[in-house]
Amino acid sequence: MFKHILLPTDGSRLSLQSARAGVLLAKALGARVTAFFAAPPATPILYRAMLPVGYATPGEHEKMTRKVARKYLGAIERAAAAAGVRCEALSVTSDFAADAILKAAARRRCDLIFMASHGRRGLRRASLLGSETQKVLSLAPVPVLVYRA
Amino acid sequence: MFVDNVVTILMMAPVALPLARAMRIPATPVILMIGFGANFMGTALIIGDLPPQMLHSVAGAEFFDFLWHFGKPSSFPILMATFLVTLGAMYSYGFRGAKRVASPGELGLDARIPNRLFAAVVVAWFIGTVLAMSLREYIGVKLGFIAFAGALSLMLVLALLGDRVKAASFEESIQALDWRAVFFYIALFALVGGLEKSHVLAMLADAMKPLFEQDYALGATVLYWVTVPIVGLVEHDAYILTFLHAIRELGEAGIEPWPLYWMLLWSGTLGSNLTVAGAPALYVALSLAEKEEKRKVSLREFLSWSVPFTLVCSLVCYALGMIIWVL
Repeated sequence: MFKHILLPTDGSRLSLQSARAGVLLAKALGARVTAFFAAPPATPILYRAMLPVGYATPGEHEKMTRKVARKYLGAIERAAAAAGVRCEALSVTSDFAADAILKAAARRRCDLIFMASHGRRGLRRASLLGSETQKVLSLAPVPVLVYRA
Repeated sequence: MFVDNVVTILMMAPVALPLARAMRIPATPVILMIGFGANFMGTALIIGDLPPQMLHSVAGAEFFDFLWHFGKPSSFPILMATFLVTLGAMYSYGFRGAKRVASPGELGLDARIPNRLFAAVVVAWFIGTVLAMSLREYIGVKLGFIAFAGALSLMLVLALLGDRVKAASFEESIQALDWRAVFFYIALFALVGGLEKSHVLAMLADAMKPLFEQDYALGATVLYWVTVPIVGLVEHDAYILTFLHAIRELGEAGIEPWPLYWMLLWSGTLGSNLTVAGAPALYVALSLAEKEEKRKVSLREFLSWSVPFTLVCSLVCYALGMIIWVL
């Protein structure tokens, strides 16, 4: 049924769980997957949980982003390799995760977006879906499967 | 300082963007810095932005009062010193990793003026109008009349020169005016005039008066630091005009108004760099940056530049303003 599944991740525990479940679905369907990560653009101040935690030059930021993308996408690649599913990794720079996911799905001609109900930001228990997931659900031109843990 | 801040951004972007491309540095911080700088220095002289012109109409400040006033350095020297310190701080904050370039030739850029006659006429008229504005006290006409006469006579001269200057027609020039801004400012003055006539501003001044009577320095500090975040979130012209009138009322009640006028003008301008809502010029800068980089710029990214810039310049200007004008 589905031949190419997009697995967005923001590196959170839930999104990794979701990506692993996506890999298993791809195996069951005989589909391939694209692991996707949108990194924030370079700014001198770095944030963690909305609080400034450090300083980086654009060069340092790029190195850090590459390293983080490798880590997050590598986990999905390893899960796919273990399951025998063909996997490609894609990372872009954008602060607008939902827009980037939709663009990636269109460019890579994915026929399913498989994503976690919540990402890093927002209150997990306060809402049914995270804001980026809601945006993807509202705007996606292809089916979206939301993984809720 | 000499040109409206939106026009400054539109003028400087074609210079900065090829440089940013050639040096391979992100366009967004470069354009935002131009926007912050244009907005910031608009208050240095009487003709750069609306708040100094409001000070002229409310309190009668003239061109040279922005350089030296009551034997003290005023807007231009204080903002210039603040700007230099802020520039150094922002270089260290966001641009120190950028490549150093010894000469423009290294970048492979080629800039030339397509029509020298047109450029010469426009620059000469511009300098003449600025000079006339600076001598307004001696000419004895209104500031707005000089600006209007300068613009109209320039259009007339360009029309007389015809095809030699290839200038836009009179109709096109009139259409290119920012009419929304013109009507916005007319409405703004009418609204604040209404507040004054209905004695709302007198009530505001009455409420503020005890603070300045008890401790003038504390009052000036509160006025400054309350203004900075407010004008970051609401359009600063309306806020500044309202409080200029309130300070004039305070002056009539025996409180020394000039240090407060200046502190309000500086905090009102510097604080407006905090978000796009505070200053329309920043919206223009942000749109140019997004167009250049073909992506949206998030609030997080914008704030990562605007917050340090606003904090540094507000702190430096506050220190200078307090030492020179208040204490």
